[in-house]
Amino acid sequence: MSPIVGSLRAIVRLVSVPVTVFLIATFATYALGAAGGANPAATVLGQDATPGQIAQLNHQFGLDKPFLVQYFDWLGHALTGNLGVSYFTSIPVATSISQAFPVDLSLAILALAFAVVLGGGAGILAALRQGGWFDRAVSAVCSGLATVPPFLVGITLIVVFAVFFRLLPSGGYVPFTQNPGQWLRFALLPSLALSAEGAAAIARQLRTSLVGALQENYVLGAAARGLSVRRTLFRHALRNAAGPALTVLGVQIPLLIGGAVVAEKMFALPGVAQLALQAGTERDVPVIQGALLVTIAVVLVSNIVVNAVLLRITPQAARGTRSARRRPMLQATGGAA
Amino acid sequence: MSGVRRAGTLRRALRLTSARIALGIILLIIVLAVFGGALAPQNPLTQNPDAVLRGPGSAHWLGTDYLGRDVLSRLMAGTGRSVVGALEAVGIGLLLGVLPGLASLWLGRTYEWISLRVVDAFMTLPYVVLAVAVTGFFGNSLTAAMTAVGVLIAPLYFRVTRAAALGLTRTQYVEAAELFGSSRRRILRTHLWSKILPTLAVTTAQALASALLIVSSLAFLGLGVEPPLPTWGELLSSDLDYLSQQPWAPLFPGLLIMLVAGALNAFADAIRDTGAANDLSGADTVSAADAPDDLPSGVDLVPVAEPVLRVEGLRVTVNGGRTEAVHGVSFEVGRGEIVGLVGESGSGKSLTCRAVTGLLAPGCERSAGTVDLLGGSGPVDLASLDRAGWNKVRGPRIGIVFQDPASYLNPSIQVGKQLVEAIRAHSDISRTEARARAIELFTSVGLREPETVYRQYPHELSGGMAQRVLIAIAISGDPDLLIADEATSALDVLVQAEVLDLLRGLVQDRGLALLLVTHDLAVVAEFCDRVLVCDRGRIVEQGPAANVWPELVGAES
Repeated sequence: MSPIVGSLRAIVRLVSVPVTVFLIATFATYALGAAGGANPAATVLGQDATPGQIAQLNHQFGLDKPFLVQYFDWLGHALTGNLGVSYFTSIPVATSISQAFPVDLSLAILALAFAVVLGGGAGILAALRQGGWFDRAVSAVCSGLATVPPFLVGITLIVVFAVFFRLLPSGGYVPFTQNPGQWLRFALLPSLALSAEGAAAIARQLRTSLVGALQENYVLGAAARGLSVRRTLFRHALRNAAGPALTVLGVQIPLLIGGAVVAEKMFALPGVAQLALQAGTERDVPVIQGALLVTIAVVLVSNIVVNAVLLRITPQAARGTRSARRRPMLQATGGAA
Repeated sequence: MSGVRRAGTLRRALRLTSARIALGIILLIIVLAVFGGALAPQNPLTQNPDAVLRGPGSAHWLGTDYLGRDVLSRLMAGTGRSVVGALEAVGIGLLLGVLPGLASLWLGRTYEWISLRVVDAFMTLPYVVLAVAVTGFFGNSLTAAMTAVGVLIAPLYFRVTRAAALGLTRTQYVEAAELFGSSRRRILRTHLWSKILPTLAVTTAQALASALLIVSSLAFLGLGVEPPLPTWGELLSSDLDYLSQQPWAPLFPGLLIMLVAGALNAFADAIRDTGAANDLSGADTVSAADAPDDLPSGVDLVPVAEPVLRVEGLRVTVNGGRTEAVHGVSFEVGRGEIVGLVGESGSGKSLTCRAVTGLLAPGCERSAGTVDLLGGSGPVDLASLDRAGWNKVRGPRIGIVFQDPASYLNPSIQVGKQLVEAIRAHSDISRTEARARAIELFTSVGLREPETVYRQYPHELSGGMAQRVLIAIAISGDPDLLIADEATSALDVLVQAEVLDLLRGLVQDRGLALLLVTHDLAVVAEFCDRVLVCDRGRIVEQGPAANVWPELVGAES
């Protein structure tokens, strides 16, 4: 097998599952929207609408077509960047979302950076001082965060930094492209609040897997070769311990987006979630579906990135899962029973 | 039978104080959920415009809200709906997750693949986002919000059930049961549930805790809230609007949620830990061997011609200093000499070797004696080295090879790069030069395709190849002394002979001193110039192999 075919295969493997998952997820959510039975014509036109007007509006929204046709129309348009039009404002959904999305994206990236730096740093230090006071403090904070409603973290931050010390604004937003300094002032508290859960998860996982990695023979082997402590830690132990922590990070991304919804509301940020929340109260189905589609796409793309990084830093782990593919047991013997 | 065992697990879990407290809190919440409305001191819906946003006092123990309603009564009356909401979500997850999870193991590959992708698909959706969508599509109600949450809890149950069942299908008793012709249904009934139910109990407790937290998050967004009916989340969200007047108000519902979530998690931990302890209780516990009365007497140091390593009066303690396992060992290893350190497992030979290389495990310590490197580029007192000092010794002065060689290589890095890393740690040469030297070293340890091996990962190598790689790394710093700790023990006989030949060649060509630690007398008899016999922490005999075991060496030759 030539390396080119090999890497092509790896790419197909990396992409085939997310594509299937994307189709299933969008189909399920689209079906859900259709099953909700929201009747835009009646809502938009009001009580006095004639059946003719309603039929015309339904035709305009494509609601008179069979469901499957509607789904594939919607998906086809979505892939070309057309997410339909809001029932109420007639603004193209893609336009509203592309205005709101950078808010979430910049916030999420900052939150992710906080989660990796704070959680990763805490996890590494806790593993190196296993059983020490710092280790115990980290596990106490992590299990504390697991029992606190996530938004309490945000409220605490607001009370401390905005109400009490008056250091940072309690809400509002300035785009990064307009003024990076101001953007940071407004984004700091929401992204800190957003990062708490992920930081705790990363710290806990990294501590566990690093403690495990440090007991592995290859760490002893690195010492036997006279490699420095730092090199042994970062290139050998951490590299292998980072895999599970990265997986946890991948799992955290949907939670991060969910948290962003809460953060947007708490800090009055003009993001996708505010759009969806508003649309939810109006039962504005195309907007909700557009928001769902963006969410699914973001999660899947992040998963692909995480998997690609995993493949790069721990190639043997990726290979191991492939060779260890299990044949469904009992199936072969099932016929005899 | 399984029922008895589970009851046992629960009873054992309840010996823990934390589990008892947690269970107490959970029972209290159940009572509140059922009777909270009736027990509440005041009507939770009665508004009082004259007593708005009061602090805690005798009339209202926890104060009043923005409509003058009694907070304590609302908390108590809201328990039912909060608990029912969480139960509803978890119940939906349980229903949708468990059976498909089991079925994914039995219904064939196509079903398995599709169901795994469906699970993946649901896992892309955040709880909050789906709840926003479902309440948007179907109207805002607690049931709609909780259905959305439940659908997303289902993947958790799917995976947990599947993993537990998968673990079970691999155990021998299920295979045995199949061989004896038990039907699948029978296997399910007798073995599967007893294995899966404890796992499900733990998962359910954890899922309930997260569901409670999710309900409160959703309430903050106004989802699943049906005013004026109270829930804990609804209390929280209404408190937030009056944060400036009553900054402490969110404390009460917040603490209550934390308390219940914490109790559920603690309870889950207790069950899981007790279950895990059950599984381990059958395993043998390793106890430190007591020192026997008739301790063998050690032999004195025998000086050699050109010593490279000198160990004098080495003592090693284990168990954090409580037990001494090596009782004053002395020996020398000379240039160009192969010395075998033999003994049964537990005789102290490996501890001696670890102490010499400064690689003692945590809890083990050199308590007395000296270890010196002589010759070469000047003497080094190994006993005084710190980690940085060791890094200048291990590699350039001492090379070390272990048993199970592949495990001593980083599984994620190509072995050639690991050799380059070792080379460059001790000499100032460029990456290209180091690479050329690596290929050279691979060739010199008898690896036939050095370029191919260079790019391979440890798991792709055979045991013999991995040991050659490790030897190449060990000699890359051009050391005076090579220590082989059971380096050939795990290899099959032919490969063992090849590796030993390689080592002998290195000793002859490079004038290395080789300390070979092994339990294999045949290897020692045939291969070593001199033998040190280790027994219960002492060296009890030493000399040329022919003198120590004349009969053995005679038989060999």
